[in-house]
Amino acid sequence: MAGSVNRRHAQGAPHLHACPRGRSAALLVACSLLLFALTFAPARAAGDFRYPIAADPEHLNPFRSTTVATRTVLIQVYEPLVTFDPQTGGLKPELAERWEVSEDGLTYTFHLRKGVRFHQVPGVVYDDPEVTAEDWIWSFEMFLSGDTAISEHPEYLEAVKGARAFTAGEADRVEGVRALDPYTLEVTLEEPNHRFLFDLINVYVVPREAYEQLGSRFSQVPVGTGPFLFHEWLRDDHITLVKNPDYWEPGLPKLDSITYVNVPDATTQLFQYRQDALHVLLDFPTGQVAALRQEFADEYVEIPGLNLRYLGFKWTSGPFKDNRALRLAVAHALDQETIWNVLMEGARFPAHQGVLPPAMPAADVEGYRYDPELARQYLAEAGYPNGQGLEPITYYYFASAAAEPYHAAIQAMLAEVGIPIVLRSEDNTTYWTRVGDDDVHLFLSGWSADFLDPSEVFNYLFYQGRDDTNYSNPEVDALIARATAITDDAERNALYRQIHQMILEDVPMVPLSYSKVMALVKPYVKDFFLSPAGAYRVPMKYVALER
Amino acid sequence: MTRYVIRRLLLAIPTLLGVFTIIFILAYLMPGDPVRAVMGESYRRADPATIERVRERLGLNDPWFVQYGRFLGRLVRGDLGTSYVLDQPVAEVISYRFPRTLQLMAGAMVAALLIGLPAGILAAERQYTWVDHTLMFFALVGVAMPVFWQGILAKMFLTQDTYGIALFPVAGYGDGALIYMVLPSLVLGTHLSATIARITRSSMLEVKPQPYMVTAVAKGLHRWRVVLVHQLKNALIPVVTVVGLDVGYLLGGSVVTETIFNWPGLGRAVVTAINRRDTPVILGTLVFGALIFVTVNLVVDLVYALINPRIRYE
Repeated sequence: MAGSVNRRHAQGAPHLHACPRGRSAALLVACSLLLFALTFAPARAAGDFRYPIAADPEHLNPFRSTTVATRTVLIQVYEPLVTFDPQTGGLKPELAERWEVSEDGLTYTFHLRKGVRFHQVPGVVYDDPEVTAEDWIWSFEMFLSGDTAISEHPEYLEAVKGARAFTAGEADRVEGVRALDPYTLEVTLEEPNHRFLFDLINVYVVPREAYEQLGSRFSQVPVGTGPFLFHEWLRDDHITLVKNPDYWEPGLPKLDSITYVNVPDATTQLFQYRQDALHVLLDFPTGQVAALRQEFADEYVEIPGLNLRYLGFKWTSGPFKDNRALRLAVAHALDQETIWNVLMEGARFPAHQGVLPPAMPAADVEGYRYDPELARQYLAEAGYPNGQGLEPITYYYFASAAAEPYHAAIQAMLAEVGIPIVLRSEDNTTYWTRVGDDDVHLFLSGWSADFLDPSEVFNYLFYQGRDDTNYSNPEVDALIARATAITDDAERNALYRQIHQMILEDVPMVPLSYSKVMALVKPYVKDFFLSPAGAYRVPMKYVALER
Repeated sequence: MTRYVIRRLLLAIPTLLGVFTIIFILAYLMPGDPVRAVMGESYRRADPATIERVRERLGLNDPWFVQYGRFLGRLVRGDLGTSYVLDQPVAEVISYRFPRTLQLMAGAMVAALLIGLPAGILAAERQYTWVDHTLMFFALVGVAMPVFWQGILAKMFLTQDTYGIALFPVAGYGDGALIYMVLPSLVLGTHLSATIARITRSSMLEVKPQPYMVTAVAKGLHRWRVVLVHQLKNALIPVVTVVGLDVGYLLGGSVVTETIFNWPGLGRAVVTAINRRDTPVILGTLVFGALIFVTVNLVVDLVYALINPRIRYE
């Protein structure tokens, strides 16, 4: 009834008739849109490299750099004494022209490169912009500061004599660091430590003038000696670095600028790569790895990476505590080939070896092979024949791995041998807070080594209960400490192999896979050297755009 | 009028205090250790002494009531605190990003009005015809479809030659180039435009049988004038209410839209802050959002008087 009343009113009321100019108006709108698109699209410079970053850096403070996003930008602006050779992965001189190590392995003498100058940026005035040993001493002291508002990384230099006392505020200078002359820096260690040079890769020289004159802006405006100068930062959108015209290495950098484009979503990154709005693709959307490898066969590059993905057992509580057979049952129940080569389309290498990524020394030991029958035997030996009496175990994993499609497969594989599993995912921060708790007994985790040395895995995952597994074996602890002090490579690596075997015997975790550093790189991009530590370590000064 | 405004402003104080308390409790109860998030990947490499020093510096060892008192005390002084991770005062985070969110919201509002009002008017004028049914079908879809889904579809079909036409950039701010604003504005404004279309239609239909409308037609006024001046003006009050209330929706929707389109606004800052447990930024931006919401509601109430002089505030 109401409808008919309304209809009657509608008939009596004035009508709007279709405008005869409607079609031309639509055409006008379409043309304007096109013109608008052409007019307002920003022009891109030819020598500008567009590099995707998945997260906006928190800040650009070298003393407090904590995430991959921060480091990605900082390593192009700041420089250390030594760095990685992009092609061999070994160490090579950077701001130190060369160095000598004393016979006892305690004293390092660095001969500094002459003519290296700090960036000229507005708001910073130098007495002398050239880098000298005094600048290094000040930078070392800043890194070693006990005030976390200044530095969160005293650990990079903790091997230096007197470093701990300085950080604790018990000394006003670092005993082991001194300038022999403006271009010679001597560093003395507490005891021999083969990691020292590797740790120096993260220690940059920073101009005191910039720190003092920029004040609170120092965290937003990085000033170093590197091949690129900071230009602008629009948070959550992009960071632009431009070529350093005074760079000490002749002919470098080859690019005019780098724009770090913030693209958190892998699919968006792919869309932008297709649009030529990015020159490389570093994050592959889950489920599209194989298809993209095929579609962009000429643009696909990969190298073995340094990340380990593992299934951790809580060593100090729960069903896995003191039950090696149960841990072995889990280890032998997982079909890594299916998980990584089928479900994950070869995005990572199945872990057939131990806990060290394959490119590392002492990595070539036999891991836990897939053998469900053996797993059942171990389960019976553990006191749970066919899983009888075994309460469901919660498999805990983090949100950023939640999109990966193998968790249910792991659950099914363990159920197949008789181990009941409940899946539980948490957002990353909650996960990382909870995973150390005593009631988390089985968890998916990962570890990224920074360089090709077993200490990068052993010292953090298996030393004095530091990892969330709480694994601790006094014998292993003693050997790891001993190995850190051995400077002879062959001797140290033999010891590392022994440690590796001992850890696998203990089964504190099941190594699941090792990373691949993968990228799509436009064909006209030259000398984009991927680093095993991750794409963030690509030395951009060598990269060229040759269209 | 002045007394009304003063009364409303005074009433806003307990409302805001309640909101601030709820926000603080929620942020405090959020699982996850901020220190772990603040230190990022270096947490697992840091020695326990460094971790403890960071915790102490951030004041996280203090009991909750001390932290709450500090939070309120700072608010009274107009200080929103300093971000745990960004090395920036929260006020700077907001002042830097809010204009961009406002820009997006304004774009969405313009898109919503440009689409919603004509659609609603046309649907009312062509009631029960295929034009009405088609427009209301799309309005229904617009109201029902979540923002993130619209965003994905828009990105697939309007930015890629592979799936549709590459008309717009995929994402980003593009140094403020207007072309970058089109898709996010359309996506954010869709829900509002659909709502406006539906409300406009029903409000126009309510006004249509009024005697003054019949008079206007009888006077022989041009039909455009009748519809746009006499009918639309009187039909606008519910539309203004919806637009006002939906500013809150736009602020909420901008969180998703900004994340989908990598728009460097306040919404994205909140999402990132939540993921990083950056409590000062979470609290600061939510407090700011609450202030905006309360203010907009007051402004909407005052605007009624401008549209309809019969409304008086006592």
